[in-house]
Parts: sequence; C-alpha cells; structure tokens
Amino acid sequence: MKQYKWAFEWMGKYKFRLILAIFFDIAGVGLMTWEPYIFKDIVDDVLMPQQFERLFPMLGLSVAVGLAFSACRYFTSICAEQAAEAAVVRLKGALFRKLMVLGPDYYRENKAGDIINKCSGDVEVISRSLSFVIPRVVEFILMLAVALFVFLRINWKYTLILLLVSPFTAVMANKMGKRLHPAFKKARKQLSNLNAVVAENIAGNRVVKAFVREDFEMEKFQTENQGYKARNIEAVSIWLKYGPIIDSLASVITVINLVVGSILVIIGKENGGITYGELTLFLSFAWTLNEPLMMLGMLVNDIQRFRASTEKVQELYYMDVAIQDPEKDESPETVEGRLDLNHVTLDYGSTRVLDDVSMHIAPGQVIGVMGSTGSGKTTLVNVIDRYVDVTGGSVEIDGVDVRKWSLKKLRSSIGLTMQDVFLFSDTVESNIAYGVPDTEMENILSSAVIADADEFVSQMPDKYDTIVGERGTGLSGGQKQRVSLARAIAKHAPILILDDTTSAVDMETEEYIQKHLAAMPDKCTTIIIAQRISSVKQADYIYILDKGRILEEGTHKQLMQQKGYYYKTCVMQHGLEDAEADAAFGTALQGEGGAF
Amino acid sequence: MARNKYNIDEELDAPFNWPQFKRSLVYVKKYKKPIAIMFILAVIASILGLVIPRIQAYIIDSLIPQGHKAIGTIVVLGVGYFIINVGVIFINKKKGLIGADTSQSMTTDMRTDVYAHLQKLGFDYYDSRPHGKILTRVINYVNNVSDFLTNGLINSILALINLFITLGFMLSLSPKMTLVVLAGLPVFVIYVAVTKPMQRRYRQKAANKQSNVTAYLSENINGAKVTQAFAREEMNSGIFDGLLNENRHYKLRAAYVAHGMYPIAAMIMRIVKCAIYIAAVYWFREDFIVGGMVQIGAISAMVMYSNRFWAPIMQIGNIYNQLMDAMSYLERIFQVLDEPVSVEDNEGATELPQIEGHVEFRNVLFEYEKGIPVIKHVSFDVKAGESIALVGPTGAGKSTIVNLLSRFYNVTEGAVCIDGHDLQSVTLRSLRRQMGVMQQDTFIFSGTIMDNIRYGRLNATDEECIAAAKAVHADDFIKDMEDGYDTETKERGEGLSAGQKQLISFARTLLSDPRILILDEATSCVDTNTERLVQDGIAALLKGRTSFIVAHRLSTIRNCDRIFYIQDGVIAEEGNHDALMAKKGLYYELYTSQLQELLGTDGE
Repeated sequence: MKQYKWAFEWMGKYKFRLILAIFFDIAGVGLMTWEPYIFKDIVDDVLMPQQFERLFPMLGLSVAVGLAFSACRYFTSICAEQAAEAAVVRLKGALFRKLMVLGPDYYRENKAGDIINKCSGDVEVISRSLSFVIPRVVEFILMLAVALFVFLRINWKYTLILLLVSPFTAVMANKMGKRLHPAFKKARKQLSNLNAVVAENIAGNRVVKAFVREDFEMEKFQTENQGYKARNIEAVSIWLKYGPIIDSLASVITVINLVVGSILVIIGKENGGITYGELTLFLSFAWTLNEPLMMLGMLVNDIQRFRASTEKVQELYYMDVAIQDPEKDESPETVEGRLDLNHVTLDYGSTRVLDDVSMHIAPGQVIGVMGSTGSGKTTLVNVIDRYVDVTGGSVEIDGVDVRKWSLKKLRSSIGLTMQDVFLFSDTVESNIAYGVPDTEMENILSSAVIADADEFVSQMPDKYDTIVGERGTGLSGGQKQRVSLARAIAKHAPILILDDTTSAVDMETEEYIQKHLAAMPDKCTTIIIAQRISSVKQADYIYILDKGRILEEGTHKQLMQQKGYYYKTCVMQHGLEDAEADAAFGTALQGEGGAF
Repeated sequence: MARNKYNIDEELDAPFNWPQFKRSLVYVKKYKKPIAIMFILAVIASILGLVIPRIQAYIIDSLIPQGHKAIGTIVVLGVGYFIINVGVIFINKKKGLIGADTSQSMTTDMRTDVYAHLQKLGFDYYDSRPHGKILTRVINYVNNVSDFLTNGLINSILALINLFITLGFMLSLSPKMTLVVLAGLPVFVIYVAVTKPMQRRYRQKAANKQSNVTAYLSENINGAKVTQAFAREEMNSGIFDGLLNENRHYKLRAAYVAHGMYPIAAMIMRIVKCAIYIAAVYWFREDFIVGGMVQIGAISAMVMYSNRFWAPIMQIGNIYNQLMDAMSYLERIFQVLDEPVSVEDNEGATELPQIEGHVEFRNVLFEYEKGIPVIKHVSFDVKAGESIALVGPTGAGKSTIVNLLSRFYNVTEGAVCIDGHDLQSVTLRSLRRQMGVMQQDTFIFSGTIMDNIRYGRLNATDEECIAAAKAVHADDFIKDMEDGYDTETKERGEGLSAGQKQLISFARTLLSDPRILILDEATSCVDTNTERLVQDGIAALLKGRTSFIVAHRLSTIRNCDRIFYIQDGVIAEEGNHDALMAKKGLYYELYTSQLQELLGTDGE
C-alpha cells in the first residue's frame, strides 16, 4: 500500500486524471450492468408476451447505453494512459536527477545496464500497473458488489451457493502471488545480467576482436541468454499452475447458474422460482462474478511485478548521496584560485590513499604532480573537485573549505580534464561547449586552438559539426585528449586541473599546447598531473607523490639537483644511460647538446 | 561515416514490409512441431468452447418447457458443461506452456543471431553510433518482436481459426442470422483502415523517441563524472526531460488511436446484438418463433456466438497494433543482421600457418572515407624478430598502420603480407590469434583481475597469468590489493588507475604469446620507473618476436631496431636511432628539441 502511495505521488497533478479514469470506469460498470436489465425486460415484456411494438424503443435505449459505455471505456483508457505517462516522465526525470548527483562510488558498484533497466523498464512497470491496475481493482470490487446485489435481490439462497467458491479462489490467488514474486524478481535480475554482458561486449568490442574471443564471448552470452529464457519459463509455469485452477473454480459458478437457474425457472415464479428473463439476467451476470475471480490471478501477477519494480526503483531513488551541498554556500563571489591542501588524508576502507598531503598554491601558479602508478595523483583531483571528501585535513580554495562551497560553484570554478577521457556522442562543437553551453563560437575556436585541436578538427569533413562516437570513439587517443582539454579550457575557470591530459599526444604538440596555455590571457591556477618530465618541467613547483605521500617537491632545477625520483625519471625518459646522463647534463650546462 | 547521436531519430519508412515479415518466419519455422501442437490444441479448445452455448440453448429452449421431469437431464448436462469447461481450461494451460517455451526459444534464437552478427562487425560500426542504441536492439527489440511472433502471430491465427469455427456454428444454427452478424464487419474494417496510417506514424515516432531516451540515459550514466565536473547536471536533466516529453507526446498520440479500437468494436457488437433481436422478431419469424413461442435460447445462443465472433476480431485489432510495433523493431533488428561485415574471411581463405613474423606493406593505400586517404602508398619490409618504433605527430596514421596489420580494416589498395601471405587470403582467426595487440584504449572486463589477464589465453594456468603480470610489473600492485588476483574488477575497470589498467591489459597481451606484438601507447599512463621495469621484464619475452611500438617517450623508442617517422600518412624517415640522429631530419629535431628544452631550462 505504501508503495502504491509513493508511486501515486509521481503523477503530480495528473492524479486527477487517474481519479477521472476511475470515475469513467465506475460509470462504465454502471452502464454495463444496466444493459442486461434492458434485455431481461425485452425477454419478459416483449418477447414472451409477443408485444413487439415495444422492441424498438428498448433496443434504442440499449444502443444509447452501449454508446455511453463505449465512451466511458475510451475515456477510462485515455485518462489512465495520461496519468501513467505523466508518472513515467516525472519519475524518470527524478531518477535522472538522482543519477546526476550520485558519486563515483555508486557507478563503481552498479552496472550501467542495471541502472538503465531501473530507469526505463521498471519505471514503465510501475506506472502501467498503477494507472491500469487501480481502475481495474475499483472496477472489480464494484462489479462484485453489483453482482451480489442483483443476485441477492433475486434469490438469496441461490447467491450463497454461488459464493461458496470464492474462498477457494482467494486462497489460490494468494498462493500464486507468493510464488510469483520471487520468480519475477529472478527474471528481472537475469535480464539485467544479460544486459550487462551484452553492454560489456559492445563496449569492449576492440579487445574481443584483438584477442579473437568471439567464441568465448558467445559462450558467456549464451549462459545469460539461456538463463533468461529459463527464468521466464519458470515464472510462466507458476502462472499456468494456479491460473487454470482459478479459472476452473470460476466456471463452477457458470454451471451452478445454468443448472440451478433452469431448475428455478421450472419451479416457476409463483413457487419462489424465477422467470425466463431473470434466468437470462443470471446468465449475463455470471461473468460479473466470474471475471473478477478470473482476473484475480492476473491482478496478483501485476501487483507482484509492481512490487518487484518499485523496490528496485526506490533503492535508487533513496540512495544516499555522500557528497552534498552545504547548508550555506560560503564560497567567495569572485574566485581567485588560491588552493591549499592542509594535511589531507584519505582512507578507502582500510587502505590509506592519501597520507598527510599538504600543498599551497598561489593564484595563477602552475604546479606539476608526478608519481608512480597508483600513487594517488588522480585521488588528489577527486578531493579537490569533491568527488570524495577527505578523511582528515582539509582542502581550501581561496581560504574556504571546499565542503562549504556549493557544488555547482565549486565545480564551475574548476576546469578538469580526466585521465579516462569521456566524450559524448555529439558534435565536436557541443563537446567543447559542454561546460558552457551558451558560449560563442569564438570561444570554442580559441579553446580548440589552445588545445591544438583546431587543426585536426578543421580537416574533418564536417569540421566542428562532426559527430564523434560515444566516449569519443573514432578519434585517436591524442585527439580525444585534445578535445577534452579544449572542453576544460572553454570554461575559463580560475583553476585548471589536467590529469594526464597529454599522455597520448606527441612532444611537439604538447609543447605547442604548453606555450598556448601559458599565453592565455586570464591567468589560472593550473595543476598538471603527468608521467612525462616534459609535461611538468615548466611548472612553478613540482610535487612527487609516492604511496599517497609527498616524496619530493621543488622546482625542476631543485629536483634535478636532488638526484632523487625526479632526476632518475628524467634520465630514463630520455633513454640515457647513467654515464650518458652525466655527460649530457654536463655538456648541457655549457649550453650545447653535443653528446650526440 | 553515418554517425548518430542521442537526439537524432533513426528514420525508418517501411509500412508493412511483406518480405521482411516473411523473413521473420525463419524463426517460427524452427518450431513447426510445437506450433502445430498449439494449433491443434487451440482448435479442440475452440470447438469445445463453442459446444457450450449449444448446451445452454438446449436446456433453455427444450428442457425447461418440459418441466420437472427434465431436471435430471439438466443436472447431467450441467456436469457435462463443467467437464468441457475444465477441459478447455487445461488444454489452454498446455497450450500456454508450449507457447511460453516456443516464444522464449525464438527470443533466444533471434538474440543469438543478432549478437553473433555483432561479433563480426568491425570497429566502424561501434564507433559510429551510441552504444545504448545497439544494446536496445539486442535486448528490448528482440523481446518485443518474439513476443509478437509467438503471442501476437500465433494468437491471431488462433483467433482466425476461432472465427471460422464460430462462423460454422452460426451457420449451422441460422445461415440468415449469420449474415446479420457479419454486416457489422465492414464498419470495423473501415475504422481500422482509416486509423492505420496515423497509428503507424505515431508508433514509429514513439519508438524512435524511446530509443533516444535510452541512448541519452546510457551516455549520461557512463559520463556522469564529466557531467558533474562541468556542473551540467541541471542542463542535462532538462535535455532528458525534453526527450521524455517528446516520447510521451507520441506515445499518447498512438494511444488515443489505439484505445479507440475496443470501444468501437464493443459498439458494433451491441448494434449487431440489437439487429439479431429485430431480425428474429421481424425478418426470420419462421425460424425463431416456433409454435407461438419465441425461441429465447436460440436467440441468446446467437448473441453468444456473435460475441464469440467479435472477440477474435477485436483481438486481431489489438494484434494489429503489436504488429506495427513489431514491424518497426524487426526492421531495426534486420538492419543489424544486414549490416555488411566490412572485414571477414574472403572466399577460399586459408589458415595462416605458424608465422615467423616477417611483415611487408606493399604500396598500401587506406581511406576510412572515400577520397580521404589516411595512409598514402606506404611500403616497408620488417624482418622477423625486428622491433619497430612508430613515431610522429598525433593523427599521422600510426594507429591506423598497426590496425591494418591485424586486419581490423581492409586496405583500400596494395597489400599487407605476413611471411609472404597476403592478409586478404588468410582467415581472420588464424591471423589475429598470432598477433598480440595492446590498444590505446584499454578495456577491463567485469570479473577478477585474474580473469582479465586470462582473457589473453583462456587455458592459461594461474601461474602463467601471474608470470605475465610479473613480467609487466603488475604483480606489485595486484599483490597489494586486498584480494590480490581475485580482486573483483568492475565494468570498465572502475577503481583502477589508468596506469594499472594498462599494465593488466599488457599482461593479458603478453599471455597470448603472440608472434607479432603491437603496442599502441601501451604504457603511456604508466610512470617512467615502472615503464623501465616493464621494458626490462619483457625484454626476454620480446626476443625473436616482431614488435611494433607506437610511443611518444623517447626512452621507449630509442631501443628499437628501427624507427619509422610517420607524417601525413607516409613514412617520412626510417632508420635506427643513430642513423636518424645523423640524418638531422625530423626525428633528430624531435629528439633534440625534447632533450634540448629539458637541458636548456636545467642549465639556466
């Protein structure tokens, strides 16, 4: 019931449509029960006494009633449909909004296919069963009431005989419901497994082909595909086990009607029996008793599906959002871009990913961050952009803890490129303008120029209108990185964070990009995370991370003199042996590259 | 390349396509036997069902007037009536079981076909459309179509059978009255014919919009982090609302038409019923008024038959809606099945024997799009066991060259040969099995880290997988994880750093024990120290294997036997490091500028 109330709320003002649907439905039932009476009268008053002159007016009435009934039926469906669709749109929209605020944890734990299923299939089930099941239930209750009334009025003993069957039907329907619920749940779960396998296969098609794993993939798929078939058949089997029993019970009523009714006619009205007309009335009302009982099974089925889907959707809708807006936004009006990390510590479960990291970056400064794989570089970005909150210490921008910034303000103030480049299947132009949808074409072009994307984009047949594939497929790694860089630049945020942005571009391009970035008119605080010395060398200050701690820090020159991690990396990256390195740096100090 | 994005409808304009429909019957044909059984059961059930009004009519018209002495017969007939009814119910149960099995089997078959074909399609297919739209075809559309094929199609044939049997019963009762019942039919047909085109248009539109919704949703789930970073949550939610509303608009339009079907049919049914009464009293008195008594049983039996006659017609009307949907879904499914496989085994392709690794490009020209060559008449010859570095600006064609080597694309002109075998003449399987390709985009499957490494060679033992991981120094970080090699990997390797993903992919590639190794930016996200360790670790493994390495880091490049400097789709320079340095050309410039810049600042 609670679930129904919850789902009902999503109809918003269309709730009244549903009420209207129920109203039309009730009117329809009324008209439907009227009709047999007309025909009973036709039998008793027109046909039996053969007074045929009254036939036409009565048939006319029947047609009018039928017409009204058809209209009621039509409006019931339409209103229910409108209410259902309203709930679909609102609920899907709400779930989408929820997805937009859920953090990386959620996406790590849940497969995309599952999420999509919740937001489409399950929502459809909820709204459909709501807007079609509720009027149905009202209709059935009403029908039963009317049938009882009609039968009781004609003959109460007879009615009691008819009702003997009902408890059995109720028990069966209840049993079926209990077993159907888990079966449906399983079937849905299996569908999401199937979805996940196919989605992964599509996304990983390059690897599948490279390793000639089509057969293996086929096998994986068949397991889920066959499993889905099996789960579905299981559910249908339960349905077909109880359904026929319920139907048979219903047909008992018809038989009693026919046999007992006929006997009552023979007994004759004067001896407490019934008339011919009343018998036809009995026979035409048999279905008003039967249908609700027969449909009971179907309803149980619908209700179980509704419950299974609602549970899943509610789980998503009420998912805790770890990162939330502060109660009061204390961010400064204009952001200068000072960034302070004060003894930042971050634990993921029992593992410490960041350990007492402190950095103090003045507005406009360029900072380089290097470190081995898994040393916590990307995590650093995540705490600044607040994808995750620090366990200890604090991150401050312009002296205000990022947890006191509104998320929108915070993230608008940071231009970010990610290691794992994600582009949307949209035009290059829209991709670059992603953070600033209303921007001028000029800004897009100039950002693309800075990121050195303009050249290759201009060579594409549709230029900036070229649609790139999802995740930027169709572009090379370096091209994707440059579009994503242009996207970050176009925001003109006071802080720019480049996480491994140029790993796939060649050195010359990188140099070009660096020069243009440095020449940008509005100075922004820049953090460059990279593996290449060439990427960070120009920075004002460089940090080396190792296992979540700061291992070395200083300017390029200072770090070279320290002869630590940075120095070693530098030597290795240029493919120099130790002896060579000494020679190279030795001669370099005299301003000549004469080692070659 | 026809690309598609979330808000572009995939226009389809085939109303009812007969050949397409016939083609879909391929899936039905396989289940001839169960379907035949279903038909037989249906016919039996339908005939039994139609006996019922007869019993009723007999009781009312013939037995009741006989008075008390008929009570015994009435009870017996009542029991018979019940038995027949229960019989029908259980026949329908059996039919339902067979139907469920058949429909599920058809779904499974069809999905298997679509999926199998997807495995054959090349990169270009996947690169040119949102993945959500491909997924929808495999899952949702297939579900819909097979539901139609079994429930819809079989039910409509059953309905037709019912219709004809009912017709037979009506004729046996009163041929003249049957004509009255049939008179309503043209009205209904006209209604269907008039609304048909509207119906189709709205339904197709709704399906298109639905697919847009799914595509946008799927992309936003995958790109949620980017959306948050760019504070686009509100705007995207707005776009999504827009797509939903468009979808709703057409769904409702379709519903307005579709829901008219039942009330109209119900109305016609009612008028027909009235006509039966009128006919019985005025037109066919001789048949329906016997011995001064109006045959009420016969009239109500006729009314019952008329209802039974109209029920299947309404059912067919409903199925018609389903049919329209199914046709548009079928079209999309066949579109996938008909998608030409750009790279496949040519006729008479032979197994590529165990290769040495001698690679030749003979005047290779390649264009993704007609008229825009990406690789321009490139020729080279790489001896078995040689290591080649490909350097040059981004977009020069380095990745394309290595992709041609595994025949991920077909050359437009010229030929790529391995050990003298033209790649066009060998089977893809035998070729790719001997190539180890580590691509720019790493992909991690959900499963465990061990599963991911083993993907390279499915029958590899745990020890072999671990050895491969050790060679690329992935072992270090894997061991540090809570569950080690059994650590669960999420979809796309969420939770692993880009460098870690690369190392796992690298281990996977090494494990496949390839004769030719292609490393496309294999370690671009790995730190230099680890990279050095990786290089040392794999040095022994690389011995004797031909390798192509696309890289930007000089340290990686310098140790290769030969370096190709690629620019604008041609090999601008080639030679070993020393030779190219001596040449003082493009490579020299690249190398010195990097070093110079570095040393320059250092020296200041």
